[in-house]
Amino acid sequence: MNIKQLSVFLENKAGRLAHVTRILGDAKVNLLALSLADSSDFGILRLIVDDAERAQAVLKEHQVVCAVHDVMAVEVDDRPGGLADLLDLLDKGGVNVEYMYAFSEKKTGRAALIFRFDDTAKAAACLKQSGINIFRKVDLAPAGK
Amino acid sequence: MRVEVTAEAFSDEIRVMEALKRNIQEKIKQLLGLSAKITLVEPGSIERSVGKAKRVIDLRKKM
Repeated sequence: MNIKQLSVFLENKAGRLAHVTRILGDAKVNLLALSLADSSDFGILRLIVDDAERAQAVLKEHQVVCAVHDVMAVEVDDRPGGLADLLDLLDKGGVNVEYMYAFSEKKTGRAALIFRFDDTAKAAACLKQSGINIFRKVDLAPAGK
Repeated sequence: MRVEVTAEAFSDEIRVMEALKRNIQEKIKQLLGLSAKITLVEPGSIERSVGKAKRVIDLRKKM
């Protein structure tokens, strides 16, 4: 049920994000979802791509620091309070969210969240028990598409 | 002080990377007794010295 996320270290310098996305673009890697977290002197770009292993290999060839991790794509009701209900559920289950970002699923148009939990197995059990849909495969597009 | 991040030291979580910075800072303090501001940078971004160290600069006018 886990999907692969590519994470990239970015120095806080003009053009670094463009550099990374250009490498991926030239390698014909398609970006499906992304989030950029920043601190005072660096950023971490988190990407869901069509082929995480190939993207990682291409970036490594260009000396870009990156890694592939398992994350979870969870369906959330597209209504006011949908996210709050989901987070309440996780909170009651004792699951901590390390980070998350939201996108809409391309085929169904339903809202989806990419999660990194402190305990993935516990989170999966908690969500399954409540009948929450966990995407097995990601076919995402940015909201509005 | 600029420190290049390797793939082995990299984490996708900001708090882990911030902890890495603090850890480096503490190690330098223990070893040298100096407080340094650590900036994490990409590999290869720190300029490498080429050849011998340049300790004498010749300011004489060329003939």
